[in-house]
Formats: sequence, C-alpha cells, structure tokens
Amino acid sequence: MGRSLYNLLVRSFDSRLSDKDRRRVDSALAASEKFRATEEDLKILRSALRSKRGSTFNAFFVERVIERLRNSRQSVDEYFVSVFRDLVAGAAVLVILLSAYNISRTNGFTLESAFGIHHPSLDQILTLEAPFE
Amino acid sequence: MDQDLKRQTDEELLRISRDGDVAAFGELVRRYEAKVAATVVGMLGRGNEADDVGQETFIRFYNALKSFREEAAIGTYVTRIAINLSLNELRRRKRRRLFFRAIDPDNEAEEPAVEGNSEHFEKREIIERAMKTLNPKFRAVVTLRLIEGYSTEETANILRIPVGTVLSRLMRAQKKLQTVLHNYKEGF
Repeated sequence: MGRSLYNLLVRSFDSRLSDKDRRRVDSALAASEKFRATEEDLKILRSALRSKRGSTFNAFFVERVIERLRNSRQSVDEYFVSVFRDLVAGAAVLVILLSAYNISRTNGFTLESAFGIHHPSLDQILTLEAPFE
Repeated sequence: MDQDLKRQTDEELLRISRDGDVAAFGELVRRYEAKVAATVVGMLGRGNEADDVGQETFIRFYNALKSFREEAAIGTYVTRIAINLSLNELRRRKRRRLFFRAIDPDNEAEEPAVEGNSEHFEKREIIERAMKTLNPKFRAVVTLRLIEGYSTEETANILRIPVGTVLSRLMRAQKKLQTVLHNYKEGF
C-alpha cells in the first residue's frame, strides 16, 4: 500500500475525493485485504474518538459557574466599597494635617484656627481700601 | 421559574442574561455544557483542570455577552473560547513540565506511557492517553472534527485556519494515533 493511497483513504473520511481518486481507493479496497484492514482500523479509531463525545464536567458544574459569577459581581461591589473607604480615610488624614498646620500658625487652639476661619476685626475692615474709590 | 427559562430560546436567554440575570445565563451554561466538556476534555483529559477551564470558558462568555454578535452561533463561539483556553492550559503545562525537568532531570512525569498493559485501561482512557501524545494543534483538530463532529469547514472556521490545513493535520493526527493505539488493538 503506497503512502499516497493511504493518505487518500484517510482523507476520504473527511472530504469528498475526486472521481479519479475515489476509483483508486475503491479498487485498492477491492484488491487488498491489508488495505481493507487499514480502513477498518481507521473506522474503529474514529468511532472510539466519537465515544468521547459524552464527556461531562464534575457534578454541579452549572451551579459552580453561577456561584463564581455571583461572587465576581460581589467582588466588584466590594472593590467600590474599598475604594470609597480609602478615599474617606485619605480625606480625613488631609483634614487633620491641614488643621495641624493651621493651628501651628496661630497662637492658640480654637476651632476657627484649626479650620483656618478668619474673622477680621472692625479696624481691619475699615483699613481695607474701598474698591470703587 | 426554572421551567420558564427552559422554555426560552437561546436568543431570549441571551437578552435576559445581558440585563444581568445570572439564572438565565445558567440555563445557557446547562445547554452548552456538554459541548464545552467534549472540547475541553478532548484537549486536556478529564480532571479538575478541565473543569476549571470549562468554568472559565463560560465566565469569559458571560463577560463578553455585551459584545457578542448573535449571527455567530453560541456553540461555535463557546467552543472557540474553550479551545483557546485549553491551548493556553497546555502551554502552561508544558512550561511547568520544562521547569520541573530543569530542577529535577529525573522527573519525567505527565507524559503518558503508551506502552503497557492494555487490559488495565478502558477504551476511553486509552484514547485519552493517545490524545495526550498529540501536539496541541493536532489535538484541537481531532477534538473538533472527530470527537465533536464539526465539519472540516466548521473546524477550520473555529480554529481560523484553512480547510486544507485541517485536512492535513487530521491525516497526520490519525496516523500518529493509529501508531500509538496499535499496542492496544485488542482492547477495542
């Protein structure tokens, strides 16, 4: 059995052969017992492979996929919560630092000094230049 | 509720799933589980890794629902994801094997022993072992065409390779499988 004949035989299972090639394969099958045995082997192999079609995953596969999807959605929510928590913590630290800085620039500790709230005295207001004068 | 979902068409389930209904997507998973299992188990063999890749296939599909164009068949689409993830897994396994061989040259694990006592193996197991001897590219073609039963054109479309390449890979894969399975012939 020649290599090209064997190739044609294998190919005949998956594609349509030309009339000439089909005749070659048919006449080889009619003439050679070895060639018929090779064809039989191929059929057995292909049928054995087809028998794997019924493969399944482990039990409760669908439930596990759904569980993973629900968990991944939950983790998105958790992500936003953690980002928001970090933002809040960062902002609180910033407020404390600014307050400390404001307090250090004034003589005493008052709420106004901590938050940089400035109450100008009447004299200060009067000494301000009138804008439209 | 489950009965309602079972009556829905794939297109309806897709639409509901896109709105975030995980249960509707679960019904799609149920419908396509066997198809994905055939692909992944064909590529990787049975086991927890196959199960993980199967789950990942559907998670990827869920995440791609918004961009999924319905003119593509769901079966073809998930099979393509499954094949790609399986090929990635095989590459990972190869790297792992190379690494372990590098640190322990005596470690020749994982590569299936094809000689041996065939009486101890069932037909499926023998096929699985023989499949593991194939190069992943050939394994993908055999899985799609011979296990799943896709046509050569569909196989070419899923793998995005020419039909001629599918045919030549099929031919070479079958030759190799025949050689490997020769020892087990009585088992069939």
